[in-house]
Amino acid sequence: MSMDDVSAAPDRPTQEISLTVNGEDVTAEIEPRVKLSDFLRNYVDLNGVRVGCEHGVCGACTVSFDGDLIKSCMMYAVQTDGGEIVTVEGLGEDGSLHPIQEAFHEEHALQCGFCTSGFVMSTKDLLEEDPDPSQEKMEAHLSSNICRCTGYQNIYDAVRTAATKMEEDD
Amino acid sequence: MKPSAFEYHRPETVEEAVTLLTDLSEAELMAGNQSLSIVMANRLADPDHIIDINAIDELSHIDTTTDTVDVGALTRHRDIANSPVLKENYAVLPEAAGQIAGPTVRNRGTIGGSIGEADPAGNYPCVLIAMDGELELASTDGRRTVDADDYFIAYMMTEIEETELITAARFPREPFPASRTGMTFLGQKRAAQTWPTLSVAGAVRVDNPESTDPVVEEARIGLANAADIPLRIESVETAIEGEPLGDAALENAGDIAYEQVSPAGEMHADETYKRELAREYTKRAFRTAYDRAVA
Amino acid sequence: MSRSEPAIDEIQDEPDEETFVGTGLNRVEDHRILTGDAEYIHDITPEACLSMGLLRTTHAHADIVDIDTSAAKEHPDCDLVLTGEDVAAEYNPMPCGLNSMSEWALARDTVRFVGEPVALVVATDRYVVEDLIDRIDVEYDTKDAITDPVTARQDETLVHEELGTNVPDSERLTFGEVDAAFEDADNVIESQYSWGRISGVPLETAGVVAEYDEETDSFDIDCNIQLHTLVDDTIYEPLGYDADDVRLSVPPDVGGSYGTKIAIHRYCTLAAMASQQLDGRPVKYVEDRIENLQGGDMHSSDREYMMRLAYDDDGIIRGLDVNFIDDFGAYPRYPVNQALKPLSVVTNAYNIEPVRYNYELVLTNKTAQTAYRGFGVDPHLYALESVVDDAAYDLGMDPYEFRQQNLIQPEQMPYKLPSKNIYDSGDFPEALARIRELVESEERAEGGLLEPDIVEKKRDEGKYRGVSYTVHIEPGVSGADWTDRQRSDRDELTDREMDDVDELPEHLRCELEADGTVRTYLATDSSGQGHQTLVKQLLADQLEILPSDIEVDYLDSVEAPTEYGSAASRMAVMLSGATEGLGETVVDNLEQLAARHWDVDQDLVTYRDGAVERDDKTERLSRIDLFEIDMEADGDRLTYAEYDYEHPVLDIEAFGEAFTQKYPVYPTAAFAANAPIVEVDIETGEIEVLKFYSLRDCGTQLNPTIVEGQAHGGLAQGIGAALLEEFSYDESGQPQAVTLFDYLLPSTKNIPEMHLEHSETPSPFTATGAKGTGEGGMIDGPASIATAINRALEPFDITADRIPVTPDRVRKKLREE
Repeated sequence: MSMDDVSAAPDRPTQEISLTVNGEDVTAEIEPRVKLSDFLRNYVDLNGVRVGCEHGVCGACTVSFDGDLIKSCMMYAVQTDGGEIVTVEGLGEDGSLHPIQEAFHEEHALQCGFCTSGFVMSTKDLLEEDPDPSQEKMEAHLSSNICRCTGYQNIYDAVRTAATKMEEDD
Repeated sequence: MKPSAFEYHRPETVEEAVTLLTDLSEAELMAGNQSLSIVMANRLADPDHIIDINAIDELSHIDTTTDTVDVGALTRHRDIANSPVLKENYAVLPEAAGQIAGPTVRNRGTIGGSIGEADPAGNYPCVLIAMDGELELASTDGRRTVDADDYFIAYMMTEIEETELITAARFPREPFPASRTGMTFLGQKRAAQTWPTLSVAGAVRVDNPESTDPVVEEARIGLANAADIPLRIESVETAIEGEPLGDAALENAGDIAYEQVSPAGEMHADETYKRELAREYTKRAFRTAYDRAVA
Repeated sequence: MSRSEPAIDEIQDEPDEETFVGTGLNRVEDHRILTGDAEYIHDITPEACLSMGLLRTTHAHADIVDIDTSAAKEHPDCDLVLTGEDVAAEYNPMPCGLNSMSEWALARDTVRFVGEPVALVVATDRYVVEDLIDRIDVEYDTKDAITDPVTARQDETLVHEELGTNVPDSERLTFGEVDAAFEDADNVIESQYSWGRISGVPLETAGVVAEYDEETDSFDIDCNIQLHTLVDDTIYEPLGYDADDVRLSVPPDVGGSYGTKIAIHRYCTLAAMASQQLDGRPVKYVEDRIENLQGGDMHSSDREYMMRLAYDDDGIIRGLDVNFIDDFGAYPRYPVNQALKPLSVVTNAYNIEPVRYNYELVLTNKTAQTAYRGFGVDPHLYALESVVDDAAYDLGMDPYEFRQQNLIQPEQMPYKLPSKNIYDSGDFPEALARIRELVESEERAEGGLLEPDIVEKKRDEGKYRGVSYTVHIEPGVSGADWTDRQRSDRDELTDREMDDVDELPEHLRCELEADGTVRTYLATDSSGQGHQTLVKQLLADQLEILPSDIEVDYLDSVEAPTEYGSAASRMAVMLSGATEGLGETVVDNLEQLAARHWDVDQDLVTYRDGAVERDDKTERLSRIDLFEIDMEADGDRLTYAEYDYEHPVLDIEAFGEAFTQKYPVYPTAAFAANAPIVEVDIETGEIEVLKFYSLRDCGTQLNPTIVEGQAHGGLAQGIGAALLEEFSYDESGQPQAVTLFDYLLPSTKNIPEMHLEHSETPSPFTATGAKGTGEGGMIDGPASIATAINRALEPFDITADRIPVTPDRVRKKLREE
């Protein structure tokens, strides 16, 4: 069921795109209607991009596009031609965890884990904008992501722990 | 929830975009795609062509002159919400922008796209209506301007032709000098990313903020989701004009709003409840705007 | 087709830890999830896999006149189309939760709820599948939809003609002299309460990959279903195969379930059928969110309660009469016993003897109900605490005092309920007193949320604050035998003896590997509860090794015996018993193996710290050594062990009545004392929970971090249920909440700071003293929020008699004042 199997048919036009995903060049011939979320998962094999609602609410599909946090289910892959995508798979270096990922683990900020990629990306975006966010700022910035398991309490702890770790790394 | 097939176009100028709009049949414009993508995923819309206007740089700007606030159609909600010049001088706009959906959606959603969608529950249309704004539209015939109160015709139906593209939203500054104006945008939104049940855009200009009882010279109110189009009620505005803001006037303004709106009932918000919200949020909007004007 | 947990980086455990149980050991599940490596069912796509989609009806009730699939079938990209008739030609219907009913996986003749699948399509990918679905033309003859459960009972229009009624199940149970109690009491209050249709809505929707094997004439089905070793009959029966020919497995990672994925067998069945029709091509189905919300077989309790409470002028409760109608939708599934679980906590923490419990299970043209965290107890506690509030207010008594004087006293523990279940331990009066003391001291003081000056100032602004103190029981460790009460002949139950009770033990097995790893296998599935971590802790302690020496894997439905599994707050207790037994078996086996190898008596060798030594200290065999020895020997593998842990109270006579009479058996009573502080804006009706205090006790905490995480999550779901979430239907049977814009899941903006404290009152009935937990928070959250709202709105004499307590409902009551 990969995008490779879709050949151009008269009623299914395709076009070529080239972009960078987690630092690697990716070129593909795909239908314009293919969502970025499906493209990243099925063509680039990045299952860390999770799909929970496909209508822009749950945030499980959150990635970074040209430096902006976006919901990949709300973008078509063709729109990213020439652009740069970062997903959770692109965060850690040499198989080790990024400080944010470590913090989520240490603070038990994940249970089923389905929302976690989205929260990690949102946390990264938050801490880049504000390395020491207030509770209010955290709540506002993370309000685009839904978690059904944790009740958010430990996620706040993870953000704070991540902030401390990243400050120490600087 | 996968859309039907379409061909994809990415013009780089307004001229290219409107030419495509004219030449292609069954074409939709795509800006932020935060609403369009859903409609297409549900196949409630299945255009043969998508014209992605995100590469048209000239459409992204926030310009202020002494008379006007001019916002390009492709300006993102996030940028409007964060604009220092708007926060200082035209607060209703960034406040409206900052309350749309959640932060991630605001990175992509645009003012032109939102207005183009013309949902009566949208944040910008009621600001446009309240502040007597106008829209600039482009087509292969050139550009034209439409006043906000001529633009919204019926439920999600507007003046715009199928071959036209919104290029800018403009708001007159002249009635609202920043030093003696207060503006606000508020309402009920039960969850961070859902549609508001009802919202109100409000502005108040006073004669002299320094005096002990500043008099309301001009008041504006625009309501979202209180009717099938964004609603401005002038009788609500005049109810507080001509005197310092007092409880009696506020009550009166609220009562008129209650009577004058024609909201549609929805799950967890029937018609009567929406009238109550219209009343209450009108009062709060005026109170907040006045307090800011005199501060 | 069970999946291995990859043995990759873990945070190294402290080698000098004395025990791992009782510590908040960081989870082993996390690394793979955080790096994106975790494989949920949506990520699994075998070679040559095809995609399946479903055409779902938009009518609530209609006859199918014709289905024209020709335009779809003609399309070159179409691999398969099946309709209900195609399914009926070769397969069986799916079993329901009641014997009198069955259900076709694709609708035949009549559709009975919006979203009911009518046809399936298979093609290369979901995009083209949806193109093909658009090409199918269905002609319907619409009928009146039955949407009001109260009037549905009159049986004027039937959801299922052949059933002859819309009330296929009901029961009226009377414990003690109820009528007399109500006659004698000084007061009787009668009130109605509504619990809206609410459900779990996990972030991950249902998904399945099914593959038919032509050679062996069997099926391999991978699905994120819950309780796969219990409910596999809902799949092999419709397929028409034996259990051993339908291998159902669940990936180690499931994106949340909370009970809702117990009844997603329809998708497994259809994907398996499709694969068989396609000569064994793997077929994958991923439910999208709209399908899930609308007709995804995942709604839950939907009740109208009529509660009666008999009480004297001094506030002592004399009797309880519970009556409710439960709107089950068009098809009652296995979780039908959700209507009965409340019997396990029928009087909550109160000492009340005469109790009546009367329910009707009503059919309507709506989506089926499934299990949701709490399994019917949450609406029950809400209704009970609401009528208690109403009684207290009626008497002019402080609800705290009213409650306190009716609580079961510690000297009454273990306490047998009128409905035969037994509470094991707990001091409820003390818990209630303690939560009040905590909140009053923290929040009535200066700067606190309930400081009198602040409360008054807020009132002037139209904002009314309130807090209420309540104690709730979270029943744990359900027995399995009682769960088919509604499929049993209830008249014959009185003749049953303990030998007739068919409890299902918890199965656990393990084997030693060449490198000394102890690979352990669960016979159930997980969806975020951290079972792998828990088993590692438990077994590490039992075997005196490190958690990192253990790997935890899952069995499929063929490998595993039928068992209850991960539901009903069972696993902490069942796994501790199972690991204890398994550990002892392993130790015994390895000692045997070593003794045989050294040719000595077994009592001259001892297992210690992961190895076996001769008591004279001359020799020692490591696990690696023992593996080699076992491989060279003949006969049964001694490096393999399994254990079946029986339900912990099967041998306790006091539970005999509940077991034999098929009343809910839940031997552990975890409990919580809650005090949510709410603020109601009386002009708009908007409600905010400012802070949530909760004292929680689940006995011995095996992993306190996991326990607390579960409580946070449960309380968040409780807040969502109390204030935000509802699957409404309009009069024509159209669902109103089919996107997340309408079914509102709480975000960071809706959930306040939670102040949780934990105590440990061990259970006398379980090996470790642990009590079942996991459903807590959802079970008790809504009831406590409702009573807090009542308190806040006391000046207006309003009670929150409808869940969710939405702003318009609050305003309606205020308006009517």
